[in-house]
Amino acid sequence: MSTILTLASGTFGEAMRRKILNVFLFVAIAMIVLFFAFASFSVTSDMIITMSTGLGIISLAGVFISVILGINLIPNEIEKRTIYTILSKPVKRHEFLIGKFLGGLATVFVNIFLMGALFVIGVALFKDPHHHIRLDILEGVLMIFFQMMLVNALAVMFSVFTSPFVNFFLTFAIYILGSMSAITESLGQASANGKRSAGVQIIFKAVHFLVPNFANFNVQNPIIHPEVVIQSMSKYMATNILYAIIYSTIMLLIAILVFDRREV
Amino acid sequence: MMNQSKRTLGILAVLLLYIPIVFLQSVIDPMRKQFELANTAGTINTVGRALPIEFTLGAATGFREAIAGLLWVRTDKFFHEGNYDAIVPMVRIITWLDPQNVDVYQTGAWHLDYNFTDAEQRSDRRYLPLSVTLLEEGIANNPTTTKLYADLAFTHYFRKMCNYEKSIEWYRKASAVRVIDPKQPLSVDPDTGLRDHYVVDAITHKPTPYADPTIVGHGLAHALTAAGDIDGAIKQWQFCISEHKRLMVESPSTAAQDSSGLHVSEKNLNETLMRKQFRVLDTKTPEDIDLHAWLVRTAPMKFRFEGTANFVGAKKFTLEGHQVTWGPVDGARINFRLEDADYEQPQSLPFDLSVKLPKHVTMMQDSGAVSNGHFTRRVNMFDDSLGDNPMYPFRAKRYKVTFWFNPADPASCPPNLQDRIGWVGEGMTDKNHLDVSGIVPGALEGPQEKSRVRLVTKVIYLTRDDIMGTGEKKFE
Repeated sequence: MSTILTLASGTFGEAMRRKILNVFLFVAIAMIVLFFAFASFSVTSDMIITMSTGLGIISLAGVFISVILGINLIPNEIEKRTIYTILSKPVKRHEFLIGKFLGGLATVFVNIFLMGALFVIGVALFKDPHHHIRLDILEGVLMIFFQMMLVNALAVMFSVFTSPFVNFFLTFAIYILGSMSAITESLGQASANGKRSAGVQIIFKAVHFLVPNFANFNVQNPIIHPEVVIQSMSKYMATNILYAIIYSTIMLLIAILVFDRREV
Repeated sequence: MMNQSKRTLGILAVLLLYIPIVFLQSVIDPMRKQFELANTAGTINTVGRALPIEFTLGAATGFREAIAGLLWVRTDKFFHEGNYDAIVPMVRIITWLDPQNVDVYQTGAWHLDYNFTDAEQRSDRRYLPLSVTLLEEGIANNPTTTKLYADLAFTHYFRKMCNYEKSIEWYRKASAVRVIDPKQPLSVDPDTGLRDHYVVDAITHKPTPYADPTIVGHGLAHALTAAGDIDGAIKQWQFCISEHKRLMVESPSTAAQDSSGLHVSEKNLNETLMRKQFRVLDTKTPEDIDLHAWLVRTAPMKFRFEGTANFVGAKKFTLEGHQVTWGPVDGARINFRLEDADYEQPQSLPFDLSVKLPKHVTMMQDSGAVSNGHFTRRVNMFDDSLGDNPMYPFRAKRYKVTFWFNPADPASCPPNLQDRIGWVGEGMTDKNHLDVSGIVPGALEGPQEKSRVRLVTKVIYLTRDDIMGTGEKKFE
């Protein structure tokens, strides 16, 4: 365990040295623009667009950080040949992989929660007429983090057998596909006019259940519309967190199985 | 490197872990509906085709509500520019992207009900079924938001369609709204319906049972009155009074609003009690309305809707020991409607991007105020019969013109007239045109059997040649 933690801390430190937090700076600038951009709209529209765009920016920045980190974690070590030094020590391959993944995840965590905190403070200062701290925004940020955990695991899994270039597009393609759960679920059901064949339904049903469903984690809507009452919000969030952990475990297991046989 | 048994175990673990994934996804799917795009099964194809790819991608990657919000701002601009045809698909896309944006359902349905008009500001009633669909969809997507129920009940069914039974039905549904949020307690008194919605008071920070006794509570009392259920209305006003009093204590932040609501409720309760006592006597002998109505074509597609009606009001009554005579009464309105003779308007229409409005149908509805026993109203349908997409295309061979008087409609029958003829016309008759079918023209649904509304109705049939002919001609 200590080996994994050492590797994770090393990966986190390296990411920080690569000034990954500069992304946070850009996001901060985008948010400052955002807080003043829609003031000419009606109060309701202004708040809806600000909240949605703010959480959307955090999510999008999170995806870029997760993908770019995830696709480079292993190939970088191979390219720089530092992996030989590490694996020549009493470090098992699966420990190396898990350590790198956790280090990347810690970087994503720090970034997303810094962005989230900035957004919460910004909303309280510039948008909320009573300057209330909207802690419910952090529920959305938490779910974005678990969404990014899944993206990171996916990118790490692909990184053990594809080049970073291919991995970038592959991870993004799956992210977009998995963000359309509503559509894949709908296509997996019989159509109203009965024209959708059983074969098509089976394919989409399989896609819906086997591809990671990133859309599960989009809980912005009730945060944007506080008057909306959501049934069992905590159950929904807990189920999704469990989903993210299990799915990430599957991705890492596949990565370990492939990486174990790979010649480096 | 792993040995073979560990490797097999790893592969087995991957396969086994997919079982909880499938299980969790099937648990998540029904819950996820609360957060995502609406009605995907029905509209996915048309919306998917019409939505530009950048919007689809944006929507799929977390900017859904922002896109919907920006589109809604754009839609508002279309309305101010008078570009009504662009509004309907925009409302469809926005509510699809953000089904929790209650404002869009409310304003969109209001546009459909009232704001697509001809040159003389008469609304295009071909849109009414779409409005029903939109609001019902909004309610399905936001079942705990009473605003939408109240809008459907009042703005749509009560005011626009005079369908009081449907209005009561939706008000009752609004009253029965339950908040099923584990963070908030359930109702202490579920049978009364109005105590199930909780708000946290801004001053005391305590949860308070609340179902908007003004919007929902008063509205239901008015609808019960219009439907002739006076005892029900009295009970409802009493309930509103107790609710306002309770809220003035429990919810200080809305005390001023409830104080105003309390005064209105008390005034309306007293008036209803008084009317209940006296109208029984005043309506004993039915008054003959003696409706005469006719249509004068003044030029092709230009008309005068005219007629006479005997609205006497509480004409003879005793005041301070003296006999007082009052009448004829001004302020009543005779409604009229010109439409294709064979067209039956559907109760609702599917609301997708390729809305199939009955563009070939002509349907016009308006009313004329009765003054000194006479009403006249000029209607120019010619200007809106031109262009590619006219509101009055006049394609049918035969047309039906209906004149009617609805005593239950507060917009048609002022209280002083109701004092004589009763809430639902129980004190009126007409030797030629009394209509006890319970079907209010233009109400989409009927008959309203429970309300027992009595109308005075006259129907005239015209041919297309009658409509298009030149020179002045009277039809009756």
